[in-house]
Amino acid sequence: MKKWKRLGAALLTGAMALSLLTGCGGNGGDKKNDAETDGTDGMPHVVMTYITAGVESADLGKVEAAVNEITKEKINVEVEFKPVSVFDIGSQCPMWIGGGEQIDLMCVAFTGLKPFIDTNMIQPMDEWLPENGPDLVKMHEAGDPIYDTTTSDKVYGIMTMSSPMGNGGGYMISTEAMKAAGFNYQNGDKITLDDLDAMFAKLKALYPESYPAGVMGATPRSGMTCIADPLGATAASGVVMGYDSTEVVNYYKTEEYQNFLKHVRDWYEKGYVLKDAATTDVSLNDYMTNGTFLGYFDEGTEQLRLTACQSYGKDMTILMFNDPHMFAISASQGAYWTIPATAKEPEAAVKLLNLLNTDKDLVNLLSWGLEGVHYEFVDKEAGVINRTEKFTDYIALGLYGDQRLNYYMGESSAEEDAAWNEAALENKTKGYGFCYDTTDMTNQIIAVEAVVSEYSAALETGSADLDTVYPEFIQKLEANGIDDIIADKQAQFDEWLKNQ
Amino acid sequence: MKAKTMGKRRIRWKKVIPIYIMLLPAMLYFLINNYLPMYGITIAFRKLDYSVGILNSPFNGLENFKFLFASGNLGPVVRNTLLYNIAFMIIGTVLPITVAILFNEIRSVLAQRFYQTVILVPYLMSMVIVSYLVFAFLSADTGFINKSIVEPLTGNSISFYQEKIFWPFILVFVNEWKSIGFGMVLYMSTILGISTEYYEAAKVDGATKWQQIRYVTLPQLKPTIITMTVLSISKICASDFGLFYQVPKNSGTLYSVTQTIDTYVYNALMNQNNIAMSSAASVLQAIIGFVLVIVCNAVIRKVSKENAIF
Repeated sequence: MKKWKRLGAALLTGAMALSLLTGCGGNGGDKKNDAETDGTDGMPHVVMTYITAGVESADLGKVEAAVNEITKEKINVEVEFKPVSVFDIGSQCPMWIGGGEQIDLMCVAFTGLKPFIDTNMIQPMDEWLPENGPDLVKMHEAGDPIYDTTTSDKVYGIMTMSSPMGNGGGYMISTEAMKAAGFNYQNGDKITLDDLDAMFAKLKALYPESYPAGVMGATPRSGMTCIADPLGATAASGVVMGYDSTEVVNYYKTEEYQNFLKHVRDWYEKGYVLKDAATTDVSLNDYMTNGTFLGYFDEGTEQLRLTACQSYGKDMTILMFNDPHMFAISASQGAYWTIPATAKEPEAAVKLLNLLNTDKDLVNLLSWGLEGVHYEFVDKEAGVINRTEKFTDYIALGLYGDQRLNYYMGESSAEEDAAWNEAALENKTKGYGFCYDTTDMTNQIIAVEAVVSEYSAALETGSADLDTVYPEFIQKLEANGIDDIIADKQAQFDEWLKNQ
Repeated sequence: MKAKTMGKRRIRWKKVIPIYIMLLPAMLYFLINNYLPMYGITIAFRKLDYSVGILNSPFNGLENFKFLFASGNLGPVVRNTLLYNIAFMIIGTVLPITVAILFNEIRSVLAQRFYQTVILVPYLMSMVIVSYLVFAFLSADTGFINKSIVEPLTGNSISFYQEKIFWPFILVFVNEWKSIGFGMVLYMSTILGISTEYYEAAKVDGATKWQQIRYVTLPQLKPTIITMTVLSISKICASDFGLFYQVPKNSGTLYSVTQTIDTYVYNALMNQNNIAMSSAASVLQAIIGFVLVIVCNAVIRKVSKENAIF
């Protein structure tokens, strides 16, 4: 009897212990302690967030040391990296700042600066710019859109200049498959969705195991097929269609969007789209490399094409829907470097930012790693490099400094990039330079964006029935106040247009 | 006299102090882990300003709670949360008790150990892994159910992740499959604690196996059942995020049957990084849960006093 009771107690304890154990997540602490403000020899010590794609590169320490060599010599600043995954910026950085940790330079990527400004998480850098960032001021005056425009009167962030700039929109397809299906398009040829219908039909007959239309719910890409400018916010708050319009409209009710949905639904029903497309979490890279997908919607720059050829190990052709063009500067598109409220060395941080946008060695060091270790020169004069065996020991995201200073990987795309930039600057939407202030509409925007994320994955992969689901989607958008947001955006836009 | 009582007390303290010292780590843990962070509740009522810190941020009343009620989307979400939890509560009580009683009848120790391990393994799995196991069954392209059952029979395939009607059943099934082992162990430990004398007496009176279960085992389990029920009522507004987010693969089409308060708040605020609004939602959740526990306990105290928790 007693024995059983004891066994019972042991079982109970065991069960409780289990529930405790399973509750523990692997919350690895930071390996680096907070360093003191002053580095060696009273040199300002700048802590900057280092954005990883989720995994820290093995050779990050070596690159950090090399960065310090440059910064100590040129601007007398010591740099410490604080690694954070690009997916965790929004949750991790506020935690650090809320906890009072020193961060002097923080990257905010692929999300708007607005919430950071509203909560005073970051501070304006105007007072330090003229003295410590003269080259940044020069770039701004020369017309490079490096200042953020979230608020019109203060600079809260310096944008990473991408190369090339602006937006495009096209379909990237495996050249071999395209040729086999009997099509002879060249890079940059213009196509329409109807052209894709014909091509996909032939491709599916030729490669029955593959899916010619590489659409996925995680990355809705309907925006690649038309020119819809969200005016510095997201499409959930209305867009301006085309180059000449000044009317803010509901993107999800436009003919262009409906046309896209019709095509994708047709592709889905004919088996050109993966049946699990709406929910799959396999990466595009895997699907392309193993041949499940034959193509996908893409921005369409030459650099993206070259990278695609290298990663998938096959030649790719880019077919374009749009010419390169410029939108209103969108805070949700790029990466911004900001000065958090907990910065102890803001002046040195701006100095570093200035160097990041002018020093070719520094930018390339951060982008590609060490010469001779992670990359080697193919053509030093043209700035073309190639990967070495150790290339994968240092993988960085192109978020540091002026990306136009980067070497070219594999092949130079300098000519194409220049042509792209020229075309983009010629095709500006009417909203170019404007940025919508979402303050008054925060609650509505949250609600509408929730509706969009509820429906867009299923609709834009063709997984949902258009006749029933699409009207439901539109009805729900309107019930949650999309028309109010559009009216607010239109009013702000009209006001801004008047002052142009 | 006085000295005598003092001496007695000292002796008593000597006995008691070690026990308190043993309690100390747990108390500290509770204080640091469960009570200290509660000052964060004030975030829900403030307009957060990082430059001055949490405690100096200005109050803004119930502003942060507005988004929860603004769009009228809360209704179905609350309905899902409550209904799923009630279903889990009922099935999660009946099923583990049944299994525990059956287990108790297994006489071979080796077999008992084996089955117990097998039935407990899913409990140790992460929901992320479970979601991929479910996907392996349900996938429209490669899923086991589609490839080996539906397609040979009908020639078509079912896109489970786009069909709402299946999900209430799938989610309940997955949840029970995962948690049954743990519940079973809890009830088993109580059953093992029941004195065999009761059963012997029942046998003498000629009670059948079923009657033994009905009149001995179940009444003895009552306190455990009540405790477990009160505990789960306190979590009636909460939900297993992994179950409702990972397992349906966050498929938008399924939101009307899979979205709970937790996943709704996550999806709505993920892009906004708005800590104040998120904590408003969690404060609301906690308050409702707290009120429900007090009410439930009051009801139980009325019905059977000795079973009330406090």
